[in-house]
Amino acid sequence: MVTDAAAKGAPIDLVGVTQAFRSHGSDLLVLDDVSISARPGEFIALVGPSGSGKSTLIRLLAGLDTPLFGNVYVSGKSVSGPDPSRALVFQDPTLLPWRSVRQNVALGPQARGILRDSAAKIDEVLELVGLSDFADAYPSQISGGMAQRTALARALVNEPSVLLLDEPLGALDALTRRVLQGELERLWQQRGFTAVLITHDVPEALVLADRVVVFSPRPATVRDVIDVDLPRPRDQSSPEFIALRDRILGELDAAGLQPDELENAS
Amino acid sequence: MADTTRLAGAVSSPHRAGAAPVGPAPERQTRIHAALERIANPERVYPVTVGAGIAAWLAFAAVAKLVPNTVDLPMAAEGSIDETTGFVVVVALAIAAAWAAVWALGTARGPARAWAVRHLTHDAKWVLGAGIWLLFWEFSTAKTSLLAPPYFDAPQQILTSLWQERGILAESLGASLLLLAVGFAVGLIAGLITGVTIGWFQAANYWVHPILIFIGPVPSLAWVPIVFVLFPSTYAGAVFMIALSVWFPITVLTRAGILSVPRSYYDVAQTLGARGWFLVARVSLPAALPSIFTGAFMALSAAFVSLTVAENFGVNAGLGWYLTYMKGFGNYPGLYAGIVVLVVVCGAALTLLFRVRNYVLRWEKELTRW
Repeated sequence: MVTDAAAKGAPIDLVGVTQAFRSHGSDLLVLDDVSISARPGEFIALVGPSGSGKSTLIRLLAGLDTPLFGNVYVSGKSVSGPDPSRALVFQDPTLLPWRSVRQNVALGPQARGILRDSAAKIDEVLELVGLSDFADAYPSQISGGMAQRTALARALVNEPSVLLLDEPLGALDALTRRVLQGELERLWQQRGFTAVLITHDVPEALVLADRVVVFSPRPATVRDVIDVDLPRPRDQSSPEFIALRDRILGELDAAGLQPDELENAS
Repeated sequence: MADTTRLAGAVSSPHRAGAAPVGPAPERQTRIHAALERIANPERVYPVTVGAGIAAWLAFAAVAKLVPNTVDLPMAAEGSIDETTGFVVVVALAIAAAWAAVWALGTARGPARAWAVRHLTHDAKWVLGAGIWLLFWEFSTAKTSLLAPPYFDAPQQILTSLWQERGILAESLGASLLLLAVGFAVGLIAGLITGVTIGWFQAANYWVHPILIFIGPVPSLAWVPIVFVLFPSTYAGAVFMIALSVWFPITVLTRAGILSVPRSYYDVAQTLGARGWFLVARVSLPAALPSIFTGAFMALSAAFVSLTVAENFGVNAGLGWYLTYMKGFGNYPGLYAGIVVLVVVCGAALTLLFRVRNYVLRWEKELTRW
């Protein structure tokens, strides 16, 4: 059903999305009338204070939750549930510990009943993320960076038209993080999917994204949308890069909150 | 496995790019391996312990053969002791000889050295302990009557009974194993089905969980008067009793296992295209397996209790029945022989279950091996 989708990404339209939860007996407004669009194959990054509802937004895009008001459209169709064409990668790799790296990557094809025809594709994505030699290792035997690569391969094997990244590099050390940022950019350029990245790391957003959406503290509203019109691969020491970085950090400061390294449970 | 992974990573480490491309030289790798092996399995062969072990078994053989039996023994006991003393002496001497051979292998250079050293370090205390225990047992029963018959019996008497009652023991063992296997299988399947159903469907949980909480802990002995009346045959009743005592822990721990599966597993599986039955069979059940195995261990002990109870009330066959039968005749050596068989069966069943668990859960990071 999504075999052709890899050729180009899908457009995303969030229209007036509002989401609220009942928490400890009181109503908690998390997203307030949020509207964002992404062109096919665009890479957008969402930055904002901790607990500002970015993860809530990405769950709506994945189809794991439905918004209270408003609509989420992908490829012009209203999102009504999870679908393999919209892949999700969490901060925690959430590999199934009883499955080897290869079996974890094979989860999608197996769930869709096309495991037998997907062997070559599984090998291909394992190769793509550099895990061919560790295909038979269990998740408890590999490092955090390798686990996150496995999670990426597991998402990519379905050839998604949208890749949703919920702080995928947040729990990794600085070195692994830089390496994986480069790989993410390469994969996105090769595969052409639309990417939505949530991050606390403003330079990371600027290295990867075509546009950066700055959120206000909860209830989240779109505070600013910044076009990152810099040539790739991006030079973090260029004056333009530094100017953009300082502008976004300034906006987050003005909102009264620093982007927090610690993602709290929301 | 983790060690080999780390070693493989070190070998291809980019920091060594300027040095030889293969990493450490082979002989250095051998030394590293040997050093790690010494840390993992420290070779501590205590000659005193090993020698004392040999001595204990020799002493046991000597006491059994050479020291005359006490005059206080009844005629029957005297006879059954004499019948197997020769066999016991030969076995004890063979054990002493085998242990000495292992010791010799462990000190000599040769391919079997590592194997011998592993046994010398691990088994030495048990060989010594068992020898001393048998020596004490033989001395305090057959040779002095410090522990008097019929309630205490010499090792030879139990051996004689094992041999004399071998027909009825084998028959009882077969009957017990069959009943246990059928009851355990029925209870396991029923428990898994119930546990998954109430762990997955809120409506089923609403009705079944309270019943489970109240029915489950009732001891199987309490069901005896009703079960053998309600069921068409006593055998079906016995199967039900064993299955019931297996069903309860399996159900409770399957449910608990499924309820404790992280929601993120389902989120990930769903975004990858998983639905319905796939989520149950490929996500819930494997994730709940460690918990289910805990339930299986509890179920196995409960099944043994129910087995002996059922065999005593209603099913006139099996090891439980055999024990009561022997007790009725005041045949204590025969009773001990039955207990020996029961001990071996229980230990073997538990070991088998641990082996299965260690294989099935080999992916678990810190699995307690057995």
